[in-house]
Amino acid sequence: MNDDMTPVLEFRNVSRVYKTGDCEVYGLESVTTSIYPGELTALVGPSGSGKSTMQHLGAGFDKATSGTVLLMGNDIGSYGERALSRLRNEHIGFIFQSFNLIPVMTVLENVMYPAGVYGAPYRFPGTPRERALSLLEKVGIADHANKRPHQLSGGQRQRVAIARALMNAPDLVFADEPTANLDHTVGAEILELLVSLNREMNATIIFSTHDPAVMARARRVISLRDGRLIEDGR
Amino acid sequence: MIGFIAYAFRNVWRSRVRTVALLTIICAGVAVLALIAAGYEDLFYTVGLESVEADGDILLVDESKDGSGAMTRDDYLSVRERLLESGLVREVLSTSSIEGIVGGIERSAPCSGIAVEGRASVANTDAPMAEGIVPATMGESLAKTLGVKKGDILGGLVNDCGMTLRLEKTVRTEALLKDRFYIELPVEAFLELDEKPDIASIKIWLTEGLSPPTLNSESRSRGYAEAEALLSSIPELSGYAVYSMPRRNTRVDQIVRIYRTNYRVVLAVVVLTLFLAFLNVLALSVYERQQELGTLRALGTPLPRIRLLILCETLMIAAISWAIGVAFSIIASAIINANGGLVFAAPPGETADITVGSRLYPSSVLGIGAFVVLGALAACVVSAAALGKSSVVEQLEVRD
Repeated sequence: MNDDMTPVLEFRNVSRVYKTGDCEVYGLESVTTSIYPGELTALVGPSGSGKSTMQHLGAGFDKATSGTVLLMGNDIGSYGERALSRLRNEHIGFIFQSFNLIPVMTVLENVMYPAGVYGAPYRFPGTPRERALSLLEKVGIADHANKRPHQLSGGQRQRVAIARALMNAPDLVFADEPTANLDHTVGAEILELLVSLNREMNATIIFSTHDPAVMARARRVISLRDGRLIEDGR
Repeated sequence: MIGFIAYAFRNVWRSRVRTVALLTIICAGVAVLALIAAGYEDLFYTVGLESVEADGDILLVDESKDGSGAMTRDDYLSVRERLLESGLVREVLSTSSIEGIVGGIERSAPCSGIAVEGRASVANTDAPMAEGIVPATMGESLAKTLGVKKGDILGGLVNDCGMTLRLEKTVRTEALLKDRFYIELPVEAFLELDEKPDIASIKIWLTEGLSPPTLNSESRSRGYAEAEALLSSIPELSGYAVYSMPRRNTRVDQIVRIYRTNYRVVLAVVVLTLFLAFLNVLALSVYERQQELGTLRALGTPLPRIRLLILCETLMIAAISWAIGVAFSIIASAIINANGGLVFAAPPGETADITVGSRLYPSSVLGIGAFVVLGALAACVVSAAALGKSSVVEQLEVRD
């Protein structure tokens, strides 16, 4: 980590409060931390500790109740829905625990989808199709490009989700418990894939987990409990 | 890259049973509306209009029964010339009539009126014979009058059960005639043979005449006031009752209005039903796809684009079901026409009853399509509006 670098993501005293009737529950409470380019960071903690909340705030899915979330130095709390959509499309990749592939699209179409949201001009060399095929190759699933998600195993679907998250070469990739729905062997493969992508593509990846074996692969571990950041170990 | 339309199309067929059910409901609605509109227009538009066209803008009828109002030939020719010279009248046609209980062409039957055999007038057996007029039974008289023989073709106006129906097609004379008949004959055809023709009616077409009612407009009348004033100033016409089309048309307009109102009520009920069906299916579809829609938003798809996707899916269902509904209506219409429809008893000389068929009109079909789209759009707006109320996280339904 280089402190002179501009953080990709920065949380400044960020809180997220959920209101349930008269009760207020802290999903995240006064969290301050920074994520730097190329980092492979694990968010760890028990269920309800705020891992997902932190990822949702960082990905622009949700807005902080207080504090500031900066992405590439920009306060995304001030963004409107339209700007947030564009930000999510161009700067964020998200890998869901339950894959969240579009069932009526083929594998290739799923991966290509983010590139088509805002249409031409495509900002990468080659066509979106070429890039998608190259990503599918990288995640080892190019042979299944024309299949529908329901024809794939869980591990294969997660590989598709990873390829989709990388389609627009985002500045930051979030993975919300990417191995939770997979058996141990396949989970290990997916984790290995994320590690290799971080190493080879210098992708900044933040993944959440409560699996000690998974968190051991991260270069940085941020521990959360009851919405508070209790440890930030590099 | 998957096209927007292709994605929408695949979504439409995601739940086949539900889509087919919705398509069926809309198809039925479209078919019901199209067939009602077809029947409605045929009854009160096509037939009505053609009847009006056949009767002229103003109809003068000798209602004296004893023929006291009948004009001489010279009076008639004078009146005719005066009317045509007025500039108000475009055409005058007078008719005589044969009326009676219809028998077969091979049988005799009582009748009244006048007929023409070749170049000589022929009266029926009940009427006193004029010099040079050959007595004839009704069947022979009719055939001779019209210059027809068995198997020949003729046309005319037939009165059946109090309704006058203009025959759209020619009829054949080998038919057994089985009802009371009323046949109009143009007086002009035998005027030179008869000094005092039995002019039962005079039809007058005005230069600026009647604009008949249509599905969406009332009838309009032009030039009637002046023409009626002219007619009332002609003493030879004093024995004739005046049936002006605007007056007659008022009744037609009333009937048309009642049916139009009924049609619009049915239209409103059908459109409401379609709206509710759309709303129900769309709401369910959007609810079931919350996570997927959340995923689309998470991938950076703007809300308006997602709403456009739902709109696209809705319009696809509307368009497909409308097209199928129209196709079904065309088939149903053809079946109705082939097997029945509105049946009028066989007129004289006709072997078969006359069926007024069902006819689909492009304007009705397009109008129904517009209402289907309207119902679909309304349902889509309600469903899509709910999307913006949920955040991405709520839609993804994942919360640590």
